[in-house]
Amino acid sequence: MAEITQHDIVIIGGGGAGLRAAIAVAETYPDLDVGMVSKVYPMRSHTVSAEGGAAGVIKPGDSLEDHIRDTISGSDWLADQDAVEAFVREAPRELTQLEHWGCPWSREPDGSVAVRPFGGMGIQRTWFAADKTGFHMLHTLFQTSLKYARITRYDEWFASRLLVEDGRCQGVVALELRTGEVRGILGKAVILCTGGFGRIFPFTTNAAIKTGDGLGLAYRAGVPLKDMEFVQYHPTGLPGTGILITEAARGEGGILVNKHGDRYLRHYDLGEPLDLGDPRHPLFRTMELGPRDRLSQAFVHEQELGNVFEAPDGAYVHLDIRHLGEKTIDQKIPFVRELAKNYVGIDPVHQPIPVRPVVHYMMGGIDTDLEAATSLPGLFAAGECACVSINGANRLGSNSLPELLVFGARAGRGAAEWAREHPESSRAALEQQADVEEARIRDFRGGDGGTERIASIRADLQAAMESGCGIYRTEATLRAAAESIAELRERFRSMRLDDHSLAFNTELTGALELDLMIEIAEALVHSALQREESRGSHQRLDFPTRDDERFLKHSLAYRTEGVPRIEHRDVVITRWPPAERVYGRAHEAGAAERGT
Amino acid sequence: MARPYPRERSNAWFLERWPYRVFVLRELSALFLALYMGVLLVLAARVHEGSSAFRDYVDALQSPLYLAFHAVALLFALLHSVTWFQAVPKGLPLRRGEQRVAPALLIGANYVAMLALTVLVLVVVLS
Amino acid sequence: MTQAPSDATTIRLEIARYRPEQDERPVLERYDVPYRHEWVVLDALNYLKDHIDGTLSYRWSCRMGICGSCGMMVNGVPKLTCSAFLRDYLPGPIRVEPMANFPVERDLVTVLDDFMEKFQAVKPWIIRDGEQPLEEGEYRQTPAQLADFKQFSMCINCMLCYAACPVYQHEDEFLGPAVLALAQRYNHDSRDQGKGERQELIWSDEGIWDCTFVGECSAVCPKHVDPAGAIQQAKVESTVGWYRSFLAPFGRG
Repeated sequence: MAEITQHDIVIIGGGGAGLRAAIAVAETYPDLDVGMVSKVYPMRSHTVSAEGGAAGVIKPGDSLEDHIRDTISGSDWLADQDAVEAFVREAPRELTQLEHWGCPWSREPDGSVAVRPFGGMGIQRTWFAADKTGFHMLHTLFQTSLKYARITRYDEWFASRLLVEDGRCQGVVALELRTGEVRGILGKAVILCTGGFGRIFPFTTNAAIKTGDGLGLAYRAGVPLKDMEFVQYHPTGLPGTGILITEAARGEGGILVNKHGDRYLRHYDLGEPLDLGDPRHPLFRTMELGPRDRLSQAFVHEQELGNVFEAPDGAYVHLDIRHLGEKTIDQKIPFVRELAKNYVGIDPVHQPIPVRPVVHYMMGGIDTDLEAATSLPGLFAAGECACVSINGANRLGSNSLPELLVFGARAGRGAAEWAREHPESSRAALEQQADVEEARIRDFRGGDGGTERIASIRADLQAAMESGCGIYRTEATLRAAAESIAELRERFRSMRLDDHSLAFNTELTGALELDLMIEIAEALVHSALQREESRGSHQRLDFPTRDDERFLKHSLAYRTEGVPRIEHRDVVITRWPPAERVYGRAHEAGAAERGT
Repeated sequence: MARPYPRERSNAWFLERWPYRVFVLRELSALFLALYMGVLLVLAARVHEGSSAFRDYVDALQSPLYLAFHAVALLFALLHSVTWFQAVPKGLPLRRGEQRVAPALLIGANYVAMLALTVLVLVVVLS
Repeated sequence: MTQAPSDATTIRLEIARYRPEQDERPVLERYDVPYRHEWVVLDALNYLKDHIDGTLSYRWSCRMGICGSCGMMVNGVPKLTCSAFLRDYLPGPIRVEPMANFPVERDLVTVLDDFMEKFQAVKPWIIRDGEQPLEEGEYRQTPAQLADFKQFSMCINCMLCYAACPVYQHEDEFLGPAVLALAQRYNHDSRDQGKGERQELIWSDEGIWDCTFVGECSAVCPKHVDPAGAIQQAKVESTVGWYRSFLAPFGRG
C-alpha cells in the first residue's frame, strides 16, 4: 500500500518555473501549502545552465511593441499574439522582482540594471548577470523560496504518474530515490515544471535530467502536446560535449567564420557584415545577431559546400571573440573563457572557439492557455515543458528565462485559485491508483526476464531522432524515425535492469524516464510528419516554403493506443499579420522608423 | 530500507594530504616562535643582571642543542611568515572600485615591510 | 595547454561501492574502461554504467561545472568529476570515492541533509525593513557594490569545500565553508539589511570561530568563491563589532 500525503498544491520540478510558481502561491495565499516534488535538489535544475540573459523592456528608446514584434517575427508568426503580449508586458516586472530578491544583475555605472544585445532583438534589452544568468536566477529563486515555511520540498523524488479522478488532476505518484518508497502526493491542483527534453537527441546542450518527464505524464493523462516538431538548434555548441557557448558572445561582438576565414552568414540573407572596428558592430537583427534557426541552417549549407572544419567530433566553424580583448571577455563573458579552456583546451582571448549547432531548446510542450492551465482541469504547466505559445517556430534567445518567470507566476496564482475552489474528491480512488502505480514500479525494478539494456535503447532512440528530425527533414527521414521508434517501443517491453535495489536506484529512474522519452519522441516525429511546410526551426526539404494557407496553425499531438493523433488549431493573430521574416535588411528599415 | 554509511572521522587526518601537513606545521610554528620569545626574554633578564650573566648566557647559547633549536626555530619562523603573508589577502580584500587590489601586491607589501624592518634592526644593531 | 594524446587504450577505475542492502561498509571495486583523451572521470563513469555495470549509482546532470551534482573524491581529492580529465591521472588507476565527511547513501551518492539544514539556517535571502514597490523599479547598486559580494554569490553548492574541511569532519555543529560564504554574500549585498538577524549564528562558535583556517576549502573550490577568505573577513568584522560594542558606552552612540 502506497502511503499518501496531502498538500493544497503539488508542483513537479524545482527549477526556475517551479520555484517561481511556489513563491507565487506562498505570496498570494499564505494559507495554502505547497509540495514541491523534484527529481534533483532544486539548485541542480537545468535553469542553472542558462547563460546569456533575460529579455525585458526597461530602457528608454525600447518599447513593449518592439519586443512583441521581435518575438513574433522570431517565431515565424507561429506564436499566439495575445500570449506574446501578456508575456512582454509582465517580463520587466518579473525581472525587477527578481532584482528585489537579490539576483546579482550586472549594472551600469549609475547603479541601474545593464542590458546587452541578443540575437533577433532589435535593441539592447537583455538583462544579464555576466554569463551565468540562469545560475544566478535559479539560486536567487531557490534561496528566496527557503523563507516560506509552507513550501515542503520532496527533493530527489521522481514523479512517475499523475493522479486523475472525476476528470480532475489531483496529485502525483512519486518514488523517493533514497528509499525506493512510492507515495501518493495529493494536491487539489498540480503544476508541471519539468523542463524540456533535449536528451531525446544525442548531441544537446541539455543536462542529463532533461528527459521531458512532465510532458510524458501529461500526455499519458490525455493532455495534448503542442508544436512538438519545433526543435531549436543553438548555433554555437562545443563539438564533442555539446556544451553551450552563449549567444552573448555574439551579442558582445563575436563573429562566426568558416575555414576560409569568411564571415559566411552574409551569404544567407542575414545582411552585410560591418567592419569590426565600426562602432555600430554588432548590428541588431543582422549577421551574427540573426535568429538561431537561420544561423544553424546556414551552418548546414556551409557544411555541404565543404567550407567547415572537419573533425572526429563533428564538423565545426569558428566563433571568434579575440577582438573583444581580455578585459571585456573577463568582465562580460568569463564563463565562455572558462568553458573553452576546460573543455576544448583553447583560450578564446588568443584563439577562436570551435562551435557547431546543437539541440538546445524545445519550442513545443504541454498545451496550455495564457493562465498556464492545461485542458485537464486542475493541471497547470509552465516553463520549457509547456507551450503557451510565445515561441512559435523559433524562440529568441533570452526569452526563455523571463518566460519561466511570467508563466511560472501565472501558474502558481492560477493553481492557487483553483485549489481554493475545488476540494479533494474520491480519496479512495486516488489511493487505489497510487497502489497500481506502486505495483508498476515494482515490476519495473524487479523485472529481469528481458534482455535489452536501457542504455542501448536510449542510444538508439537518440540516433533515430538525430537522423530523422535534425535541422532539415523529409518525409522519408521522418518515416524512418517513426519506424525506429515503434521498434524501440517493442524492445523496451523486454528491457532488463541490472539493479534491483531500493536505495538510490538510478537505473530504475533511467528506465522510467526512457519509457516517457519514447512517447514524446513519437509525438514529435508524427507532428513533424503532418506539418508539410518549412517554418522557423522546422525545415522540410520536400516542402521548402512556409504555407500560411494550411499551416498557420499549432499542431496538437494526442496519445492513442496506436500512433499519435495529430490535430491543428489556428494561431491567435491580433495586431501583427503574418509577413515575410526579414533580417539584415530589416535593420535598416526598422532603424529608420525608430529614427536611430 | 536505506541504511546510510555513517560519515568517517580520521584521527590522523593531518597526515593524509600535503595541504593538511603544511597546515599543522604552520600551527606548530607558533610554538617555536613562543619558545624563541622565551629565549629572548631570558636574554633580556640576563642583560639586566649584568654583563657577566649576559656573557654566560651567550656562551650557553652556543651549545649544539641551542644552535639546533635556533636553526629549527628559524625555519619555522620563515614558514610562519610565508604562510601568513600568503593569507593576508584572504582577510583583507582591498578594493579600488570594482577591481580587487591584486593579492600579489598585498603579499609583496608584507615582504617589503619585513625586509625594511630587518634592515632597520640590522642598522641599529651594527651601529 | 592540451597534452599530446596518450597511447593508453584503457584505464582502470577503483570505485567505492556501498550497497546498503548488502554491504557492511564501502568496498573498492575495479573496472577497466576505454581511455579517451577528451574524457573526464564522469564520462568514464557513464560508460561504465551504460556498458558494464548498470548498478553503479552517482549523481550528475549538467556536465559543465555549474549544477554542482557530481562532486566526488578523485584519488583522495575533492573534485567535480565533470571537470576532472582522465588524462591528468595517467596511467591510472583512478580511485573514485564519495565525497568525504558525509554519510554515504549508496555507492558515490552522499547524504546532503546536514548541509541543506545549515544552508537554510543562515537565512540566505534578502532581508529588509521595507520593500520598495516594484513600480519604482530596481534598487540601485553600483558595479563596486556588486563587486563587494559577487564572488561569494558564485557558489554552486557542490560541497567540495566540506569534503576538504577537517573542522567539519570533527565538529558536527560547524556551519561549514559554503554556508558561511553564503551568509557573507547576503551580508555584503547593498540591498540587504539582515546582517543583524544572521549575526548571532554566524559569529557563534559553530560559525566562523570554529574555523581554524586550514584553507583547503578555497583550494578545492571549483568556482573560486574563496570561502576561507569569506570566513576570515567575517572574523575581522566580528572582532571590530565586538570592540565597538565594548567601547560603545564611551562612543557617541
